[in-house]
Amino acid sequence: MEGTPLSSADTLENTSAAGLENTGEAHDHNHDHDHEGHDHAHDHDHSGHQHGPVLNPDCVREVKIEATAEEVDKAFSRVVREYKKYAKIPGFRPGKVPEQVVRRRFAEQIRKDVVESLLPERFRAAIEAAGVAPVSQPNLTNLTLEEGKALDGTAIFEVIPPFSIDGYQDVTVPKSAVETSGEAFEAGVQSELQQLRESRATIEPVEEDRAIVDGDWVQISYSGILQGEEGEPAPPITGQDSLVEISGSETLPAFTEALRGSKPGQELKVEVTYPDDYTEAKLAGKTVAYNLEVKAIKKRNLPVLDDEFAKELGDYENLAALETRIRENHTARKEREAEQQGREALFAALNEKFNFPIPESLVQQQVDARLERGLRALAQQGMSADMMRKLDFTRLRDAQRDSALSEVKTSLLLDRIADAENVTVSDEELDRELYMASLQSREPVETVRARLTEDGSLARIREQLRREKTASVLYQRLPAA
Amino acid sequence: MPTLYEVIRRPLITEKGLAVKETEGTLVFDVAPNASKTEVKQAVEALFKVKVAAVRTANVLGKERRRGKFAGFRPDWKKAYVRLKDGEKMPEYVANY
Repeated sequence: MEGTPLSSADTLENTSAAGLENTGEAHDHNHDHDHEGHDHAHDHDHSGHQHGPVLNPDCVREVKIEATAEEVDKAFSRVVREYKKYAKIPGFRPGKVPEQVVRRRFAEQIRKDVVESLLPERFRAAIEAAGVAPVSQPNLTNLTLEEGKALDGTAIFEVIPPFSIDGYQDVTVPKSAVETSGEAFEAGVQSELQQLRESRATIEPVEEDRAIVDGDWVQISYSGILQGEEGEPAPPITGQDSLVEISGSETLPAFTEALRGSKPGQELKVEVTYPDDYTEAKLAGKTVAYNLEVKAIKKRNLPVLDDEFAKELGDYENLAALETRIRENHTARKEREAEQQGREALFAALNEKFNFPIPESLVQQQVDARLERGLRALAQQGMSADMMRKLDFTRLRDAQRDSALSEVKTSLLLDRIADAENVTVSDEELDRELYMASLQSREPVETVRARLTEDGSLARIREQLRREKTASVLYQRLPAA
Repeated sequence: MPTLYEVIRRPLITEKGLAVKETEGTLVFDVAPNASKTEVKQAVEALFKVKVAAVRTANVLGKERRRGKFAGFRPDWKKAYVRLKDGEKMPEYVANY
């Protein structure tokens, strides 16, 4: 039964939990065949413990899983035959072990295999007959599975409840206007140009013998001692040939005051109190007595904004072309931001308008995804696995739940709207997405495709793309502001 | 007098053991090396509530086992073929083993 569309491996995870419970019982029967046919009610008291994830009662569906006694027997004998072929038991040549011995020796494994082969198939048949599409792993209860008896059990799972999307076209939100002119826009363009200039700036020594003035860059050596510390004096904070901008935004005013007016070769003493919110935690709020030595005065030269500058930056004809490009990029970014905002507002409005029960298993999946993303970010910041284990996951999960819920709701709504709007994702679009993914992971496209196909992510990516597309469609349709 | 379970250590569930059970109505056991045929007969009759027709025994010498230069032997043991009287019901020990 490998490769059933119903992800068989996952299903088994659930069934085997139920299966394990029952193996104990099967065991008993093999010890003594005399009391066959007693009732099984006592074996399945599930009231005391919780199986699987919490489900939203409004989304739960049940199906009966059934198979006749003959089908069960057939599955058993098929599995036993398979075991007979390979069983290695002392005292017997391989393949010569009598069936009775095999059944006895491998009773548990055989039963598990039967469960694995029979249940997914039966489950699929059952949900098809019932016409439901589970979104959670089925949870099996009241399972009776024994040789010579009909299979009988109940699978409980969540489905996406039917809900109406009538009137989704009427949901509108104000589209925020994108400014492509005016003072703010021009200021943005200019600041980008300025940033470009600064990134291209060169630092040159000042030859003339003069005092330091604002705007100069000063090369200094320093050695500082932390003040007001008890006990062992900390090793001095030293540095050679650091560059400091006088009255620059990143320079502490105390340094500027001390250095202004001095000349190269001079030595200064200065006490600096760092602000409490200083980026280097070691120094925040502390006072340090520094000995400074001025080595040289430097000047920063900003390149002149001209056609030459534009050419240096890339494939630009002249300064005007560069400015046009910046203008375009700026506009595009503003538009993206506006669309992002618009979409989010739209999602919020949709979520507000339509209310229906959300399958809890989907929400929990989303919570998992969010947590994983968060943890990966933490790992990148250098958090160790040990520290992560110490996190309070119950609290973290609770904190994510609300956002996860609304994300799931939005996805469900978008899926339905996509159906209504006939939004489809073409293979080319999917290929483009794959290409982007391959660039990001620096792997060949085919490797990425194989990997994603294997773990089923490809279908998920396609779904996600479809939602994105639907969101775009909806956004485009919003009345202009 | 050794107890029943000291005489009969375990049934031998092997291809041959199961084959003679089918064809000759004979059970095969690992028994205590110092047990006599009579003791085996009495033990089987008491344990399985059957009538024994004949007992044949064989002393099985332990195989040599080496661990590097150290040589040793597995313990010797006695094998007993116990033929039941015609028409006796064969005990089903396989399922409970």
